[in-house]
Amino acid sequence: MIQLLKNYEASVGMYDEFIQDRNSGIHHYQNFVNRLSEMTVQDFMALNENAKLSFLNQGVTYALYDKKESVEQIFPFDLFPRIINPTDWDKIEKGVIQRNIALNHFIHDVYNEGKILKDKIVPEHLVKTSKHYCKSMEGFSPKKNIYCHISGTDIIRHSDGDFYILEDNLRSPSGVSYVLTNRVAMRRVFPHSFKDMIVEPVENYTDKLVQAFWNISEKPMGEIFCVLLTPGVFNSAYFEHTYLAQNMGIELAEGRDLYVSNDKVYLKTIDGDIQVDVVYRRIDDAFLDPEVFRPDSFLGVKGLMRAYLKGNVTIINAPGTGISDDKAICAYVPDMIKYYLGEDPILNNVPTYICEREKDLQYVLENTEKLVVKPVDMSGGYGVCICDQMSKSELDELREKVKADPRNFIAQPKMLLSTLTTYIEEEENLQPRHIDLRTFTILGGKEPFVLKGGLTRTALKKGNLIVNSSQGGGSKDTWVIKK
Amino acid sequence: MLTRVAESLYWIGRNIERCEHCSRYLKVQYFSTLDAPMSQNKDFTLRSILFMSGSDFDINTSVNEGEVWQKVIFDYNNPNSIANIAQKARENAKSIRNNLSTESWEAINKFHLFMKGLDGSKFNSSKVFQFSEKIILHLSLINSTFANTLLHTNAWSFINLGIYIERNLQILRILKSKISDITILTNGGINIPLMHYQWITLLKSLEAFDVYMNINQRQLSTAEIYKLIISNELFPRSVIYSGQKIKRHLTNISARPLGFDIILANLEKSIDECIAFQNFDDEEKVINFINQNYENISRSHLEIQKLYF
Repeated sequence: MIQLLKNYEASVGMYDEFIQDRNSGIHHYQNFVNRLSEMTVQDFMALNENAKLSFLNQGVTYALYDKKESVEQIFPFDLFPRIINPTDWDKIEKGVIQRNIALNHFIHDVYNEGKILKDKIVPEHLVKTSKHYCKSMEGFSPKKNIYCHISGTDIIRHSDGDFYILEDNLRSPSGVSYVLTNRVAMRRVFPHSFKDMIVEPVENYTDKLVQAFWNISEKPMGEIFCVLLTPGVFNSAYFEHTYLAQNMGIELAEGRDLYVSNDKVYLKTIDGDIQVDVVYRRIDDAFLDPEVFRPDSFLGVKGLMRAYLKGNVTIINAPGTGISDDKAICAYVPDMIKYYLGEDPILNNVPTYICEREKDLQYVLENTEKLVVKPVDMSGGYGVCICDQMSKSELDELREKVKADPRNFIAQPKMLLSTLTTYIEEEENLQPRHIDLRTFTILGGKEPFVLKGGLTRTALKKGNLIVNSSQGGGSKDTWVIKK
Repeated sequence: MLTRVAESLYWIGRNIERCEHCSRYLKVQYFSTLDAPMSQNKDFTLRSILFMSGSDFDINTSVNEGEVWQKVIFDYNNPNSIANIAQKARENAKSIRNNLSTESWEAINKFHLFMKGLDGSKFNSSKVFQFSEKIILHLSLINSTFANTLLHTNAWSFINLGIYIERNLQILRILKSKISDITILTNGGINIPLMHYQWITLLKSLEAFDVYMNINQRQLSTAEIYKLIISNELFPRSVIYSGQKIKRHLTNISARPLGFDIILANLEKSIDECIAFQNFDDEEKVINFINQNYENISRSHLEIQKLYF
């Protein structure tokens, strides 16, 4: 096994988590590496194959869409875990709670009094022109004023060693099922490693989520009826939908299983119809209710918004939360934190140039090749342009696109995501690869909860800075060391 | 339970059972052609395999083994191929997997992955036995997880409704098809060795051969064969056993929508007729009975569909 790590070295200027851990004398990774040294390369490769087979048999897959059909794939899983020390985790946890509370205030404010807009902290135009702005939510406050019950916050560690927020996912953040299944896989494969250090558990996530649902719906425990609304088997995150429904003990429903009558939502069952209190939707706003959003949607439930606005059902997350996923608005989160909480942000944003601002646009156009340009409303790594890897003609084309529709773009300096030891099958050894972290925060329970771990995504191609599964990335189990 | 979920569970049961019948029939029939007296009628048997699997074929052109394997096992364009049925069972399971146990989902998924992993272009007759054995192992695992890892309430009963309706229909189809085969091949019963050989093949196709031989001291009699397959209440692949199982699982379902009593009454009538049937010596009456039962069970399927899905 030592052979696998023999030539391991980080690229110049990169922050490699494993090497930094070793050099700083913390040695959190050492116990794990010691365990690996007890096995041969062939043993490790066999474990890797077994882990893959286990995921395949369990159906832990996601769908990739090509032009003809959706292709089911295993989300590549790397056996080398990411380990986060208690000090770093403390900062991350406090930072994402602070951020998501501020974002929740912001969404409530935007759809009600609009103080932050009137005070010109966040430009009103930017908010109202967001693709995800939901007019139906104006003047409405959901139960307990919670909009973003579940948030996925993407965090990177830059070469300066500090953590930065890359983006927020407040519509229906995905990936948590992989956190849970990755942990199961690691326990099966390396049971003894969990004896070497105390790792925070992740299994409590679904309990916390159900508790938050109960708390929000203001009904006694066990007296609410929840469903997870899925677009169906062809959705890329369908495995996650079934996994969560099963582990939360709630029904997995498609739009055709639900209907609205007298502004109440019902589920069609063989025993008759059951009134639904909470809809944990995993479909976008646009498809949620053909009466209000896209009339051609077959995935949603006609009349759902009527029932929602009458207070007869809770939708998780609330419609319209996507305004915060808009990358141009995301740039204002530090200002929101100061505005609503009177605090300095614990976690910094990646510096962002908002192309709609004239000065920023000029900078972006003049320095395009040094930047990473992103569309404001796309996720999954789609549309991201890492400009120093583009040809002159591609850059010219990009500049034209940005000039034509500056509202649709932001730009950021190229952040050098930290790297971590990752098994590369083709090379049969361990090499540094870029990683990020998606944390999962739940609001609406007795107190805010952050899943102690999260999804570490890893690029599998050398030098690749985009870690998303849709772009060929994989994932790692994330171990937060108990204090 | 969601109506959609109930329907999917029902179809999982039907598809799993259909796969099992199909692969067993394929194995028994194919191996029956290797020895005399059936080696002269190989083409006939291959057509019989295509017919029982529900695959289309041209009656006027000859068929070869390779084509039969492709159509019956691998062809994803054939809705009744084993690979396609396995895929359908898996799609149904996937769409409701939170209603299944992890164990049963994984068993169904593994079966689908096994089928997906086979290379049809490299398949030949030397692999038929091994293939059938593996299929039986996969399907036994699936059935075992249904029986042992699910609460024996609605979900379990909808799966079993599917299983026993399919089983009943398959038994009746095999029986009817074999009676017809025997009449044609034995020249109306004149060729006794061939007739016996065909009856043995029928018994083996239903995994009834050992049971029959134990009960009847190794004496082959058409009437006794009918009796075992139609009305032996203790034999799991008899018409009456499946009928009683259908009734049991139907009454186990907690929901009793309007129309339930009618289905139950029809089913009970059909079971009573099966118990009362004694004309095993009269082939015409047996054929009429088979046709009537096939109609009854097909109607039960439609009624269940209308009532619950």
